[in-house]
Amino acid sequence: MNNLIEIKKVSKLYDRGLIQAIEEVSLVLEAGKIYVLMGVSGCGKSTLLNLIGTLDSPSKGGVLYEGRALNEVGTLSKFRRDFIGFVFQFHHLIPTLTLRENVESALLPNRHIPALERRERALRLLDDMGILHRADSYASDISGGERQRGAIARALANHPKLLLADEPTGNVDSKTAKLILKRLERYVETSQGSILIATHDPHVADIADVVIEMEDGAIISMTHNKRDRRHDEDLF
Amino acid sequence: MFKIITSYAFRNLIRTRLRSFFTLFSVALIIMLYTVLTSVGNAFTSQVSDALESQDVDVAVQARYAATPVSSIIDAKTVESIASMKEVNAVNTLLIGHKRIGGKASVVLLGVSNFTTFSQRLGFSVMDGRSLSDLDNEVVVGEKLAKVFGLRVGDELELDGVKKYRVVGIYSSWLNPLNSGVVTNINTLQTLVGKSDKASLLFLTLKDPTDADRVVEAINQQFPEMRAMESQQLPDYFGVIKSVFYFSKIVSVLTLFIAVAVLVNTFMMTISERVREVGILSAIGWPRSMIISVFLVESLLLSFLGGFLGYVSAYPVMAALQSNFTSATVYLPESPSISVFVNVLLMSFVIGVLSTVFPALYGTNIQVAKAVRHE
Repeated sequence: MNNLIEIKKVSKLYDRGLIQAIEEVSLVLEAGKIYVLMGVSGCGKSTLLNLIGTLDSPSKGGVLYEGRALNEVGTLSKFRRDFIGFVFQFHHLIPTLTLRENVESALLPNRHIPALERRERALRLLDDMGILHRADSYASDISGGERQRGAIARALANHPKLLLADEPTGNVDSKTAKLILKRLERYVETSQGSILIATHDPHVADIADVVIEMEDGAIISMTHNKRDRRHDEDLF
Repeated sequence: MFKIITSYAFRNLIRTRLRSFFTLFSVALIIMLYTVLTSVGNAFTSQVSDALESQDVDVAVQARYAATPVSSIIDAKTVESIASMKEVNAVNTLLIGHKRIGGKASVVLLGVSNFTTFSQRLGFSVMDGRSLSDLDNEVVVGEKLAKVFGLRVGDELELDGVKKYRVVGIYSSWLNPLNSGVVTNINTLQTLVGKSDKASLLFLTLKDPTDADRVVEAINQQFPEMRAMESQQLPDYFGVIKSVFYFSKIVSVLTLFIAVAVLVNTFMMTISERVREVGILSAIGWPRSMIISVFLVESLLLSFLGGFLGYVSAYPVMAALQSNFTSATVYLPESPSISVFVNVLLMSFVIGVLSTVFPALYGTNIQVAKAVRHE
């Protein structure tokens, strides 16, 4: 077993301990798998994503990244850049950057990537997401689906080992949702990275290797699917 | 990377174009004021210093409590007593006054005990006509004054509507303020300004220049109302130079504070509106220093552009001031100097950096998850 992430009895309290968002959650994410977190709004899905993604710190417990605690992984920004990719619910593209520049922005902190390679990689990702023709457009000039695909391209730019996606299909039409999911699956197949998707959308569960159900800040069930990704065309 | 960050910063400024414009305007206005005031201050200080340092004298004397040579009054008895000191070889007296010409602009009047001596020391060169004779009611006028009032040799000049004086010569001086002045015999000026037997400054040449410190001490003891100083100390003793010098420095510091305050306010607003953006950049792996660099570039763009515009706009302002005060006793330069431009560049940099440090450190010290959710 190749443990990418190991979550050990993680709790998250807000408002001076009055609100418990996550309660002693333990979970192991293996490399090369798609995990789908399901549950009603406010059940703690996004909080768990944030804790795993180092955007927030747990009140109790800890998260191990390939067996290392967060204080052993080095600079946090570098760790986020190299290890984790984020897809937010509302794309969160930088409005004053073009789509290509948004994708490049994820590569900018890595000084070892020359400008030309950065540009080519960004264009390749946009092409892969079917929005190359929008490379020089700003977020305000393109559709919601194109924005979300741009956000996924940005998240994949650094070939992260773990992709965290919060409702990636929440604000797009079904055709775009299908395209997004196919792309995410391909990412797992080709890179052996893992994906953790928080969603309400039951269709997303169809691509999952493991479906995790959450309720009131705790995991109430985990369902392992035996999936053969060669039948992707049957989705939806 | 620099290209993308600069372009990103520039577009951020364009996104809030109205705010950027007013910030730019404020910085430009502040820098323009700084440029004008500092240039005038520097020019004045250097002109007065040059004038005083050019005096080939060993000891200078002025009234102790006079802030400027213009307000200094030394009576004839004191002049005689000082002249009778055994170490003193010669005493040259200078009286400074003001009068209006034809009821218009006020000009500086210099009454000299010996025109040839002073013309050497004050850098006069008679361009047209001749120098002063011993006759009363003769004047030589500065070239700028002659030009403004259309005066030529042989014309008559009416000072304060009291009496007419014959223009016997037109001089040019490398000391610009003096080119707007009128020089006459000290006796003539004493009568004109109603200060009989009075002088503003005494310039002593000593038999032995090494006695200067002893003579200074002796005069300061014997004449408590007088202040004697060695010639090389002369510029420092003039309160006006010190005042102008400190005024310039205070203006610089105040300008810096005001410009920083304006930009800090702008960037506090900017950063508070871009909390989510900061969160997203953190989430995708931007180190804090890189996020701060975006704000720094934005700030430097504003401060350097504002500084440049402020400096450039100082040109017409100074030209207008100069052309409207040509006959004023305070010399106004026509344009700011290169040294002021260097100061402006330096200040723009300091303003840009200082105004970003606090807002950027404050704005990037955030919990990323909270920042990403920020509306």
